[in-house]
Amino acid sequence: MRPLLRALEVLSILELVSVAVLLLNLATVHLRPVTAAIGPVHGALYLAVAVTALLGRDLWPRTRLLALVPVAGGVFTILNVRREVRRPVAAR
Amino acid sequence: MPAGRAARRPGERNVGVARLLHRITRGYGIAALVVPVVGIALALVQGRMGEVWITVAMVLTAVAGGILALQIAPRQRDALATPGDGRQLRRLGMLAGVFNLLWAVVVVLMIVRPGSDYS
Repeated sequence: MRPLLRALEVLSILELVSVAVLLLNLATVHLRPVTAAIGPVHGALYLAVAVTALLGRDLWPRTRLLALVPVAGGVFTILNVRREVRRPVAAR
Repeated sequence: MPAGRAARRPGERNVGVARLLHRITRGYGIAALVVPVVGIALALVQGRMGEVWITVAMVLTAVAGGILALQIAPRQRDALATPGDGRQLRRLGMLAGVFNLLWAVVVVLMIVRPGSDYS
């Protein structure tokens, strides 16, 4: 796996975890400190995934665009990274 | 190598210098990670995290860091591995210009601070 795809995978998993924590908190206990702490963290992770997907070299346009979708971008990017890994070498 | 330098024609490039500059790019790029870390810590301590200019500066810094790490450094490596006809070097120059421009905008934001609660 290319280092770029590895980085994108790790970042998108972290983004997905952060958004899951936020939504879970919203649906259940609704603790204000959790929102205050995880909110900015999720923002930073979203930004990191978006910038990495937009500026990384040799990525499909769909991988770049779907990474920008709020909330679901992490899931899309995890799936897209899987597809990019299986991509034939000749296409590089 | 003085003989090699004397034999060099104008416009010809020096691989040694290019290698050194590539190393400097990577070194400074990694060292520059301190900038956003210290910046975010300062913004938290001063309670300024919600201000618009900080958010804009963080986005611009992330884009600049992405350009450096994902475009400029790999392209430098490629250019060193396979020296081309100069087109890839012009592209590199353009990217470096965009990077510098982003940093300049961030510096201006730090001074002007639009949307700041207190000056």
